[in-house]
Amino acid sequence: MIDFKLPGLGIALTLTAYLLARLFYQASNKSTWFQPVVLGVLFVLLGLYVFDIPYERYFQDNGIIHFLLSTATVALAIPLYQNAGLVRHCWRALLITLLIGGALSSLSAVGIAWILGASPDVLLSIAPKSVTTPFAIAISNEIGGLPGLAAALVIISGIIVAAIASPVFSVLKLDDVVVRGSVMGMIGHGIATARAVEMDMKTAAFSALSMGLMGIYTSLCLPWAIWLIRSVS
Amino acid sequence: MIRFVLGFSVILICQFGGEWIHEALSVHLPAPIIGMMLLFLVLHISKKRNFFILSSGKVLLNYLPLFFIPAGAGIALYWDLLQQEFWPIFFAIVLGTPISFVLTLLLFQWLRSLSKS
Repeated sequence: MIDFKLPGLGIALTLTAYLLARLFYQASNKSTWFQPVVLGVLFVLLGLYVFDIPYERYFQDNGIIHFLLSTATVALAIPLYQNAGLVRHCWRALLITLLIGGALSSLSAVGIAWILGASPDVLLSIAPKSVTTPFAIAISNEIGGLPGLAAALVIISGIIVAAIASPVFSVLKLDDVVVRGSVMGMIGHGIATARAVEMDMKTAAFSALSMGLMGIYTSLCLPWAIWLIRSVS
Repeated sequence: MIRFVLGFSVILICQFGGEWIHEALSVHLPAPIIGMMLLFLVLHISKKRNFFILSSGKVLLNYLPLFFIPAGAGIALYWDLLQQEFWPIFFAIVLGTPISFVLTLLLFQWLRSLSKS
């Protein structure tokens, strides 16, 4: 009997899942529904189930890959730097969109869940759903949600934005890369930014910038908004 | 190869700088975002000599989907809660996200057309 709980398996699982995901993605002719992030996560979940590995164990094995997520987040300064000049001429419109879009994103999701009777824990975990994963975990801790669930919902939201971006752009006949990239980053954070990198570096620049701004805006305002709602009700 | 390692090291140093500022000054901004600002500053200051940082960084960015996989699989922890409150969560994310995405797109497009005319 092979011991499937040996330490190397976790990383091997991630890399195999990623390679398989890339193969499927290439084979699907880069279809938005077959992105490496989505398929990679699904293959890993399948692997965890088949080999009966607890997630905590798998995540511990993958410390180095998760560490590189932060490194790559730092590297997002590159598309930002290369396109900083482009941002200068439209910062007013961008800021207004950010303020309204951020509130809209949180309120629409929390509102829908509240009407359908979600518990307070879940509502607080849904609220930071448009910010990048490390932000969402920090904010969730601050406001008393479940950090792990918040991270998962953030990633699903990001996957949805990454998947629908291209079809939505063609339906709305939207060809302004400033609008495309910015809103992808605002609503779909890092995952949509990873998709934007595949489109072109200009879209990626606006996506990375907006993702950062959205994270800052949400982590500054959400704790206050929740404090206000609590003291009123 | 040496250039790649050098560029990668600069990015790592910014990452550590971000972690350090986050810890030492207890800034509430997440460490990777502080690191991103530091790298932006470094790129801005080094101007035309930063080619090696840019090429290392682009290699990292190409693998961004890979780095999301371990965190993304974290959904396995919340299977029970997800089953109990499946529909509120489902509609909040599956309806809320496209609604806010489309509305925010239309808002920004409208604001852009205002400033152009």
